Amino acid sequence: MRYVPHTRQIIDEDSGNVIGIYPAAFKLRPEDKGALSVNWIEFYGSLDDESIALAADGFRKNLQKKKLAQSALFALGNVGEAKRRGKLIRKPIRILHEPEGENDGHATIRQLDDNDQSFLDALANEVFLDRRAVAKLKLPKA
Amino acid sequence: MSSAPELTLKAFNPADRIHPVKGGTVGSALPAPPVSFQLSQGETRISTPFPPPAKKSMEERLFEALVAAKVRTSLVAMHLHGGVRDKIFAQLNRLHDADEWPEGDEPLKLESFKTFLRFLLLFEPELRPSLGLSPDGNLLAAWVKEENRLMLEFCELNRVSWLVVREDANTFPERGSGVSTVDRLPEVLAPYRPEDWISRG
Amino acid sequence: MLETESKPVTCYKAPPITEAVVEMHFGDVLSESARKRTSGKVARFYPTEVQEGLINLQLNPAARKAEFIDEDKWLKRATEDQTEILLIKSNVLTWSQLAPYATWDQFSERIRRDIDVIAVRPRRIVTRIGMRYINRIDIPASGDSVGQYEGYLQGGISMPPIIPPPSAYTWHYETRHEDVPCRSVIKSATVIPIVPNTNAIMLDIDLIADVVPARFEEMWELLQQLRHLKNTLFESIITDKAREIFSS
Repeated sequence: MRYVPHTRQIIDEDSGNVIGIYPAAFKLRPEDKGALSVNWIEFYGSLDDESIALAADGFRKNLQKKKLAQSALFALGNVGEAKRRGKLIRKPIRILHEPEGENDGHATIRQLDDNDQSFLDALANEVFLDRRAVAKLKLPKA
Repeated sequence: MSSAPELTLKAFNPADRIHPVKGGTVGSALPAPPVSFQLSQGETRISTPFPPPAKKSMEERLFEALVAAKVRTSLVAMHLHGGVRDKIFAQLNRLHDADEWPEGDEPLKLESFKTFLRFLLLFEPELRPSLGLSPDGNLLAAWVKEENRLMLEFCELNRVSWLVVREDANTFPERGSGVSTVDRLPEVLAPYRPEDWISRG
Repeated sequence: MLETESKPVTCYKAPPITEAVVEMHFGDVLSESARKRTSGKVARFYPTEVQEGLINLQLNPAARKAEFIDEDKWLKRATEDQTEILLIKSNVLTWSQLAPYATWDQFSERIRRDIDVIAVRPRRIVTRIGMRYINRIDIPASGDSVGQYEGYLQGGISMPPIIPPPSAYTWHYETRHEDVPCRSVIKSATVIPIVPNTNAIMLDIDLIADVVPARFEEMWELLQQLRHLKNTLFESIITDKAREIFSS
């Protein structure tokens, strides 16, 4: 799952609902060093609310302020589908489990061509479709 | 009468808002560029706005980014109608909430916002977009209608990065993306009929 | 129509005003703490506060001397949308209204409100008042030359016909008025266009009254007279062609 702050959410201004995610949510930053950070939910158990909360907590532990924004969400996507999309456009990606700091479930998406807006959009709005609001997660106490 | 040395006007930028003759006229509230005076004894005096502190807190940087965007908007406010200005400001305020600010992100870049304003003035979209921010401070805009979406990233120097996804009935989703100038956007987007999203029709 | 006691002022659909300023200079000087207290009194009207100032760098290359001198510091109060601004300086109060400019009534009501809240009178004596309206006229672009500015403004530089139209210009005109005891500084220049497909010219009208009545209500009346004069000057300088732009 990928952390998506409110700045990268497409919000319907009338209803306040999230209706999409900007491709920029999957863009690499210089400090990423070519590896896009995500969290592997199944590291924490089966794919359920408890594992999702633990994965979110793992992500939180690595933040400087140890705090998730209430307006943020986690976008969940299927590893197989993400890889299939990469193969489809002849830009295969690799998804590796790489624990980092206090985030044991940390993983990375590598070989991601983040200049390819279309592919980033496909990830954001067709692969990582399951969205979980931080405000609704039952996170362990920090 | 003052015993200060006589100031001779040496540099006058027509775009300056403050007349460089001291004590002569009414000031302006807007930030003034540095002004140089040639003093009669061979000295030069450079008057410049108060320099900013070396390191600012993120709250200060967010505030300044918002102020810069709002002041810039005032320069074209007479051409914005229908409450557009207020709606844009509401979105910018929401995006720059210090409590919700993502670690490592940059606030809105003024150069990106200038490109966005140019877009608004050129196209006057009937339907206002949802606004977002890239990690490096570029303004993002999106129009979404069912599976169809138009997304723009406003960069400096009037450049826009665009992405269109169009899914008509019984066809696969068609995608297009590229980088263009704001002025060329109608031409490059025309094959995708963006008016279907940004107009009320 | 020009405003007199009986005629209404012209209101344009898209007024070219980018900034309107009213300034009052005082005989006394406020300390930094007094400025801070003044700023606190208007906080509910202007939620944001920033400290600003000017620094001078004085260079004497022959003597190899360089010196930094603090010229002034002030507090800038503004509304959330940054259009209503109050600068609180040591001996000056500056009210600024950025676009969109509504009406003089709204602007002057704000000034009056602040004066009452800050309790300017009767303690502080106003020694000078000023009014400045900065306009930007966005002329539809056609061709490269801005020689067309002459079609939009009546004042300007008169050049012999043999000299081609200007691609850029600046002029500055100062005079004294008798009907309203003040001096005016009128400036115009080409500026960088902001609105696409336009050329832009600035028209800056600045009125300064150095002799100010001691009684507040008479001073306020002088301010109204400055405003009438500003309108008269503006309407006499712009042409009908410019009015068409402001009215569309």
